[in-house]
Order: sequence, then C-alpha cells, then structure tokens
Amino acid sequence: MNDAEGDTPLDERALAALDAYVDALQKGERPDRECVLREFPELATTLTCLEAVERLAQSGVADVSAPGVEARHKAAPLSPEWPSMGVWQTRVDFGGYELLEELGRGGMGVVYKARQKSLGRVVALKMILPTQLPTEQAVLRFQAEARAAARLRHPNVVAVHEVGELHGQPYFTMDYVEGRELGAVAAGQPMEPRAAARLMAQVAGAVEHLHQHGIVHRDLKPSNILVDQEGHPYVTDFGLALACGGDSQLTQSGMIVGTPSYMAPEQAAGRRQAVGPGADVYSLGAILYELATGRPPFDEPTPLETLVQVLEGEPPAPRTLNRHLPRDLELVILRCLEKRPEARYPSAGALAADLERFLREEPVEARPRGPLHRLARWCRRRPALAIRLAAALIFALVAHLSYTLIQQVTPLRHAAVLGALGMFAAAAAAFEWAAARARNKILVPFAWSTADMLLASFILWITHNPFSPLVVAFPLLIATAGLWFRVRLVWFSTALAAVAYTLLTATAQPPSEEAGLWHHHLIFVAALLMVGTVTAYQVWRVRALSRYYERRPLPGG
Amino acid sequence: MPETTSAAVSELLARAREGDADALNRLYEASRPWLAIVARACLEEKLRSRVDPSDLVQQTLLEAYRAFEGFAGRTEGEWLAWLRQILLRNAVDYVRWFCTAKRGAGHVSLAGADDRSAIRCEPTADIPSPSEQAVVHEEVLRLAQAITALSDDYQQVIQLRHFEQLPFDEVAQRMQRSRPAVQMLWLRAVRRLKDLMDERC
Repeated sequence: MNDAEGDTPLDERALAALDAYVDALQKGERPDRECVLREFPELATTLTCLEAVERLAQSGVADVSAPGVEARHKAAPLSPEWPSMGVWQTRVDFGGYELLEELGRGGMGVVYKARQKSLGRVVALKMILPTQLPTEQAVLRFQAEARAAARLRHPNVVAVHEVGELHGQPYFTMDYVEGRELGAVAAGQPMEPRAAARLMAQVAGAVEHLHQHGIVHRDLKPSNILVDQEGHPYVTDFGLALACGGDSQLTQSGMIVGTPSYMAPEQAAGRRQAVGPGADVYSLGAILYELATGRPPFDEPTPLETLVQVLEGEPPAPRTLNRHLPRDLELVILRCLEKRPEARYPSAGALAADLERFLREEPVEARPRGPLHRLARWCRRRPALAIRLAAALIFALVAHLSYTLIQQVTPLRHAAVLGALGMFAAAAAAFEWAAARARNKILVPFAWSTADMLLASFILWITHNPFSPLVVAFPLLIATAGLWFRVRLVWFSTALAAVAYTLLTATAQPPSEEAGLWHHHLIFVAALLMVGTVTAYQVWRVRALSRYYERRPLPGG
Repeated sequence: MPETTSAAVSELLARAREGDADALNRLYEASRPWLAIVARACLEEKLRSRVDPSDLVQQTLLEAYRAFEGFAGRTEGEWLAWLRQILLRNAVDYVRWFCTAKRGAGHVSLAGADDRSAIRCEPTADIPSPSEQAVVHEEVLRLAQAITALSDDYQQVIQLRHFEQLPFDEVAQRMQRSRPAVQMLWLRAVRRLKDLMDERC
C-alpha cells in the first residue's frame, strides 16, 4: 500500500519487457524470467503477480468468449448444447413430467412445454421462475392463479389440468395450445375488421365466463391470447387474476400490475376497489383497437408516459388510422375505451353480443355520444390546443367587454389585440398539426413555446402595459412549458420570459406611480426564475420516476 | 470480508458434501469474486450496462446452490469449471432474454415449437471441457477477490489486457485514453494488486 512506490514511473524499456512477458504468457509460452530480471531486478514481484493474473485468466476467465461469442453479438439460435432453460432445471425430469422446451416467461412465471409421462400428452407447465427466490406474495399469487384457472371450463379458455408442488416448487399444468400469440398474429398490421370482430367476440365470451366465476383477469393483452391453427383464440395467463370480492390480500400493496398499454384507467390509477369486470372490458376494447388499427391505443415511449395517457389522454379515433374500419366497429371500440367504467359495456357478454350484432350487420348498441361528450373527448385528445383556444377565447371576451363598456382603448389597438389573440389561436392549431407530423418531435415544443412567448409579449407591448396584472402570462407560459416534461424546454421558456419582460419594461413608459420603482422589476424577474426552477425541478422529478419504471418494467410485462 | 480461502476448496467441497452448511456457504463466498470476473468478461460492454454482472453471479450461485447435489467433482478445478458452465448458460439465457425484451416481445413465440421438442440436456456436473481442466491453484480465488477490490479503472484495464487479451493499443482505444496513460494505469493496477496480495498473506 505504498502509493509513492505505486507512482514510480518505469522507463519505456521496462514497460516493453513486461508487455512482451504478458504476451508470451498469453500465447502459452514460458518466457525467460531470469532474462528479464537480469536487466530489471526490481520487477521480480511484478512478474510473479503477472504470472498469477495469467493463471487466473486461464482458470476459465479468458476463454469465455468461446461459447458466448455469438450470443454476445446477436441472439443466435441456440445449439442443443445450450438450451434456453436455466441450468438447474436441465434435469428435464420434473416429477411426472418431462420438460421439453421453454415457451415463455413473464414477470414471475415461466412456462414450459412438457410431456406428461403417464398419459404421453403434451401440456404447458407453469412454475414460478426457479431462479428467483419467490416471495411469499409471489407464491400466494401463483396459487391464486392456479385456483382461479382450475375452476374454468370454456372452449376459449386454456384449461388447467393439475395443480401441484414438487420439491417445494409450486407448478400447474394446462392445455398446450399449438399456435401463436395474438400479438404475433396481428403483427402490427390492421386486421380485416370482420375477422377482428369475430375473434374478439369469442374472446369476450371467454372473459364473460371468467367474470361469471367471479374472476377478473386484469391483464388481458395480445400476448395473453393464444390463437391456434384454426384461428380459435384462447385466453390464458391468469397471473394477475383477482377473484371479485375474494380475499385480495395479494394486491394489498396497491401495486400497479399489468401492461400499461391495455390497462384500464382505474387500474392504472391504482384504485384497487374500482377494478372490476369493467377493467377487462376496457382491455378487450384496447386489444380490438390494436387489431383494427395496427397499434395499441396508447403507445408512448416510456411506461410512465403511457400511464399518464391512459389516465387522461384520448387515443386517435380508430378510423383516422384505418379508413376502411366500419363506423359501427369504431363505436364499439370507443365504448369499451370510455374512461368511466359505467360508460362502458356493462359486461364482457354485452360486448360479445354487440360484436355479434356487428357481424350480422345489425345496428350496434353503442351509439355516438352527445356533442358535449364529443367535445370533452376532443379536448382530451388535444389538451395543448384546447387549453390555448380556451385561453384565447376568454381573453378575447374580456378584452371586447372592456372595450365596449369602458372605452379606454382606441379601436385600432383593440383590433390589434383581437388580431394577436386570433394569431395565438391559429398558431396553436398550426403547431398541433405540426406536432402530429413533424419528424423532429423535439423542435415543435420549442418553437411553440417561442411563438407563445412572442405573441404574449406583443399583446403586452401594444397595450403598453407591462405594469398590469397581464404580466401573469409569463409565469403561466413557463408552467405550461412544463407540461411537455422537458427540463430544457422549461429553462428555455424561463429565459425567454425573463428577456421579454426586461425588454418590455425597458422600452415602455411607466405610469407615474410606478416611476422609479425599478426594484419591482427585479423582484418580478427573480420570481420568473423561481417559477422556472420549481417547474424544472418537478419535471425532473417526474422524469426520474419515469426512468425508474423504464428500468423496472411493470410486473407481468 | 471473511477469510474465505483459508481452507482449501477441495476440503470445503468434501465437507459440504457431508452436509456441512457452513462449508458450503464459505465455498460460495470464496467463488463469488472469481465468478464476478468471469461474468464481466463474458458480457459485452454495451450489455454490461443493461445486465448487472452481479445479478448473473447471484443467479448462478443460487442455481448452483440448488443443484449442488448433482455436482460430482472433487477438485477446485472441477468446481470452478462447473460454476463457470452454469454462469455461461445463464449469460446466454440473459442475452437471449435481453434481445427478445428489446424487440418488445415479452414472450417467446410459440411458432415452430414442436420440431425442437427433443432438446438434449446434458447433465451439467462432471464434464468440463479440456481447456477448463487447467490446473487451478487456490491462489486464483484470492487473486480474484483482490481484483474485485480494485477501483473500476484498475479492474477495467486488467480485464481488457489480461482477460480479453487485447494489446495496449486496443486497450487505449476502448478506454478512450492515450496508450502511455493506459500503460501507466495498468502498471499501477498491477502494483496495487501486488500490495493487496501481500497484505493478505
């Protein structure tokens, strides 16, 4: 532990000698130790150390690349010597079963294709990931799944055969469905609408069967629906199923479980009591949405953003994504995706019945909603535009009222104010349009913020009034910039606001009672910076949370 | 850190096989740093940020723990080869899982499942390949422990030069430093390692 010695430089030749020594060791030669020591006697212990390091390397560290190398570069198909099963279960005998192949794994379970030796039939065998030390909660949830699934008999539900435990490892077996996951069948392409409706009518029927047995699936998604070669769907994976009214100890934590893209808002909000059959109806609608349009209703880059959208956003109308979608099917989808469970179909059975009606080309029960509801939906779909339009409208009304009643303003200036507000609204509409189409998604909010700031400054400038309560527009716009969830954008808007305010106050003629009170402006600029800091901090916090969820995908995903 | 290697691995193995839980634990603790080095060496850099090598080690030890009964070897060399084999399979597993996860598919597709039904699964215990049977000295485990105690820079330079066997030019490139700087770093790392080993003697 002598740092002084540790820093003693070596001359080039000594370093080269050491390097050559290591090279020789790595080639498997026996370098001449004495020869090196004759010239550099002080290197004796270093050579010993290097020899030890190379022995360590040869103990199995250095040639790891041999089998791993393809895997290091791509997911190469595994040769039989490298089965995908974890090692300890490569004792392929599992009680009365022979494990053949891993079919898939989820948040906590792993499913194998297995042969039941006594009957010679092939089944799917699910157990808790053997490589994880299962928590008590996980075991309880697993057993609940097995129990829930064992009660069901339906042609479109994967049937459970046996629930058991081997060497303390709980497992259960179910039908092996030869087929693909629905997600793979759809493969990101819109399906033929009638085929999608036919498929989902069967799935909805199966889910209705679940509900009648008091089970809410809670994690319906394309990967939990298997489609066999004849095209019949099977609902599977009750990992998150919760018996209605049953003992719900398993989710006492209120932990959000499920895949956000297909999750009902009440479930995303973690309101445990509110999650009922309606949540499954929502998920069915989300799956149907994806089959009909080729994408799930909400598909944001991060799980947290998806959650936010599920809670308060509105997906694009299905027919804007697939022009060939019949109007009636769109109505069915939208009714499933209603935010309030009461507004959706009362049951999965009702959804199935409505899909049948669609298939028979009868009018569906789902009806277009009233204009107010449509307006609310439009606002949820375009919140940034809606709030700006509302603001412009309110300001215009107030300005016009004051113009007609008080008449302090010249007609020209009044027209300019209304014109600026109109431009504000028009700019908002243009940016909303651009945001949906722009390649560079980051530029749009920056440009939008700049335009907002300029128009607000312009209105303040033509009213000669940076000394009135209207300056509240600046902190307001900073806070609005925070809604894009970009720290840099918040700082950008803050800087713009501070500059714009300073320029305005420097150029405008202050009213007599404000003259000389320049420190008021300093206070205001400082307050702007504080608003910016607080907003940026909150955005930063939300993003930190979001990253947390990114690294830890939600269970079940 | 407990002085884990005071008893030879073969002795610990023998005692563990007779049901001595303490010996088994010491065996695992002694092997952990070595496994950590193997794990780091077998994960490519960009993967290392996604898959924590220590997870890989933990999982490997856990599986080895459960499967200990199936291990038939007696020597340290056989023991390490066995652990290494488990680790490598897990690594392949991890990489595969990572690649499917990245593609957005949580599950492996069932398509074409049936024609691979006859996967051959070797017993993992007692057939280390020839290169793995290299004589392993007990010192190896101690050295591994010392290496994992080094700073990150030191560990990286040793890994690149010795375990990935890269020439200094390439080491310099990978570490984005000049060649003389990397050589100096390496020299310090080796000296520090030497000190650590001396301390423990």
